[in-house]
Order: sequence, then C-alpha cells, then structure tokens
Amino acid sequence: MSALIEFKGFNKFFGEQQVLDHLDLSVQAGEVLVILGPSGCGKSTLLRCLNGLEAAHGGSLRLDGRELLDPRTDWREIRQQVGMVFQSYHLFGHMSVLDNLLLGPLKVQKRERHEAQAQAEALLARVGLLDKRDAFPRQLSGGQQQRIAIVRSLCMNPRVMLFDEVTAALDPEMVKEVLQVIQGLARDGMTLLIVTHEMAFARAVADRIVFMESGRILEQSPPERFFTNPQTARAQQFLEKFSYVENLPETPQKELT
Amino acid sequence: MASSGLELLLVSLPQLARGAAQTLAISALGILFATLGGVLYGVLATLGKRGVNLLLRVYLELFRAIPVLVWLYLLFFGLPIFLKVSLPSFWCAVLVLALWGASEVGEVVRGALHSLPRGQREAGLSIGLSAWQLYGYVLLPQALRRMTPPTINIYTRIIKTSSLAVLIGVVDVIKVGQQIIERTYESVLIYGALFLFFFFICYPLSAASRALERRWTHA
Repeated sequence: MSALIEFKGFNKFFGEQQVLDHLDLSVQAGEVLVILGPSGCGKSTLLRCLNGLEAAHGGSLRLDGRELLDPRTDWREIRQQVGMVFQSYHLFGHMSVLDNLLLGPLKVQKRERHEAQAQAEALLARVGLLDKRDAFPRQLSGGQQQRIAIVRSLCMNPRVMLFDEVTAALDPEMVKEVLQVIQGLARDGMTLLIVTHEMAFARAVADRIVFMESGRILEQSPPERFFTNPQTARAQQFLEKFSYVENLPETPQKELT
Repeated sequence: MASSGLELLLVSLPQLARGAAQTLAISALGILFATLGGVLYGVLATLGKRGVNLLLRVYLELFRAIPVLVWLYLLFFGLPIFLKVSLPSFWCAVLVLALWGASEVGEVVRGALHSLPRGQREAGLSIGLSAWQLYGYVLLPQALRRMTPPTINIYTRIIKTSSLAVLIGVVDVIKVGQQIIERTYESVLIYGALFLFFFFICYPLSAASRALERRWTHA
C-alpha cells in the first residue's frame, strides 16, 4: 500500500533558522498520527506546510502520489482535500454558524445549497450543536466554536484533517467535548494528523506517535510503546515533564474512553 | 435691505444651483473613485508583496508630500506640455481628488484589514477560498466597521477640497458666488450662503461618522 502523505527530505526555513530538517514521514490512508514534541520543534509548521500555509524550501511532499512542491500545484484544490483546524478556531465572526459552514461548499465547491446545508446540519447534529445553527460565533463558548470549526472543515469532505493544538486555547472543561469529536473521526477511519499536548488523548487516539525535536523526527512508535518505553533519551525527558499529570490517580485518559 | 438681500438670493439661486451641481458632481465622482481606488490600494497593500508595497508607498508619499493644489496645476497645465494630452478642468479635478482620496482611503482600508486577526486569512485559505473570495467574503466585510467612520471623514475633506477646482477654471459653487459678489458686492450674504451649503453637506456626514463609531465600538 502506498502512502497517502509522504514527506521526503523535507526542508523548511524561517530566515536562517531551519525549522524542518530533511524530514521523512509517511502516513497511510486512515491512519491517526499524533505528533508530539517540545514547543518550536516544527510540529505545527509540518501541518501548515501540508496545507500550503507555509512554503517549503526543498525536498518532496506527496499527497496520493502527487508532488505538492511543484510550483504548478493548485493549493486551492489541495486545501479542499486537506482540512485544517486551528488553535483559536478562527470562525468568521460576521457570519452565522451555518454561513460559516456553507462558505466553502457553496463558493469554492459550487455545490447545491440544499445538499450542502443538509450535510452541514447533519454534522452539526453529530457534534451536538444543531440548535446553534443560526447563532454567531461570539455567542458561543470556545469549545462550541472549536467544534463548529471542525465541522467547517468536514463540510468540504476532506481526505485528511489536520489538528493544530486545537484544545490549547480552551478552558479545561471544554477540552473533552472537542477531543470526543476528533476521536469520533478517528473511529470513522479518517486520516488525521494531530498536534497536541494532551498526552492522555494522544495515547488513546493515535495509531502512531511521532516525536519531533529541532525539526527532526527522533522517534516513531505505537502509542503504548512510546508512553511506556520511549526509545530515545529526549523522548523520556519530554514525557517526564508530563508525568505529574500521568501519575494522578484519575488520569484524563480514563475519562475519555 | 433685508428684502433686497433675500431677492438677490432668490434671483441668484438658479445660478448658484448650477455651481452647486458642479461642486457636488466633482465631489461625488471623486468620492466614488477614491473609494474604489482606496479599497484596491488596501487589498494590494495587504498581499505582502514587497514590490507592490514599495510602489504604493511612493504613491502615498507623493500625495502626502505634494499639496492637492500643486497636483491640480501639474495635471491641468503639465499634461498638455509633457504628454500632449489635455483634460477638461472638471475631469482634472475629479482625477486629482480621486487619486488623493484613494491614498487616504487606502491607508484606512489597509489599517482596517491589518487589524483583523491573521487567523481569519488562514482559515479562509484553508477552506480553499481564492484571494478574491477571501477578501470579498471574509476580510473586507469584517474590516468595514473599522474603516467606515474614518472613510466618511475623508469624504468630507474631499468635498471641501473640491473648492480648489476654481483655480483651474471649474465654475463650481464658489466661483459662481464670487461672480455674484463681483456684480453685487453682497459678499456677506453670498459667503453666508456658501457657508451653509458646505455645512449642511459635510456636517451630516461627520455626524454619521461619529454615530457609527460610537455604535460600533460599543457593539
């Protein structure tokens, strides 16, 4: 089986600083990848490159066999296949929830309104927010806004979803409602690339953990092995910083399942 | 005296109205093109293209540094000499007001767009919007609140500055007033009328600008 997403010798610089350093990574269709690592290790940049929000500086990046670093790449088309959810939701504040959800399907994909709206409403119902259909973003809590933002991406029928620290800006009691939505997508077999600091969630949802530091991948392993027996000293150190949370009697991991 | 003054005003009214129509036409066209040009300027200035930004900067500084009156003379007297084209004085005035206004409105639009969170742009791009769609559906509608009050203030300045057109021979409301004064020596009466004319056009605009600003900053 060939990979859906394949980074090869991928380089990215911010000025002089190399943020992604000859990175190799491949993701199979349906796989749930969680990318961990200290701040500034390049994990968010990795996601943003896959969506064309950051330009690459060398190497190769393929989506379903197609080279994305080709200058002729139509990112508008790629972005319809690769949904992205941001830390601060970024809903369009001047539009109702429904208009937020329909902007892409109607204007970009030129779909029929009744069909797109039916899908949007079904997805809203699935995340428990159908009653907020006509609300405006400012009337919603952070957790609600983030669930809407996920639905906004899903309405484009993407093949891959990227989650860039989507719970980092949320109040603790709202984290779970968002993570449950992502976990539902994972169960449905969608391909997910998740950057998060929620260790218990990572362990529960991931098929594979990718541990990064300084723009390189240091370790890739199944979650059980990564969390119980990390192979690199750096990963051990990293996990020890979270061990305070991990060792509490009622770990968030149990609440999630 | 009072009745003769009133008579004079009544008699002069058709003539003043023709001048007022010129003033309003120049102002309205100047405002229209200044708005269109200003939005274009604001969009171009937020694309993040260095060459474009440099050109806009030069344009802005030229219109900030050189008085509108000099631009009027430059276009009206200079174009025939240097480019062998001559513009009627009316269109010369419209062009200068539009270019000057566009630089002013453009800076307001740029500032308003710039003040939006960067994530709005990225969220729009991430669902596949084109640049036009991004600005049309996401960025400009949200910048509208921030840019409308200062833009209306620029409109009042365009209306007032349109009076400079007299100096290249446009027979606007001020020129007509001067002609009447030359004939009748009723300067207080006529200038009073001109005062009221400009006041009743510009004051509602600046009042509207203040009202919008109040409403939108508290919303």
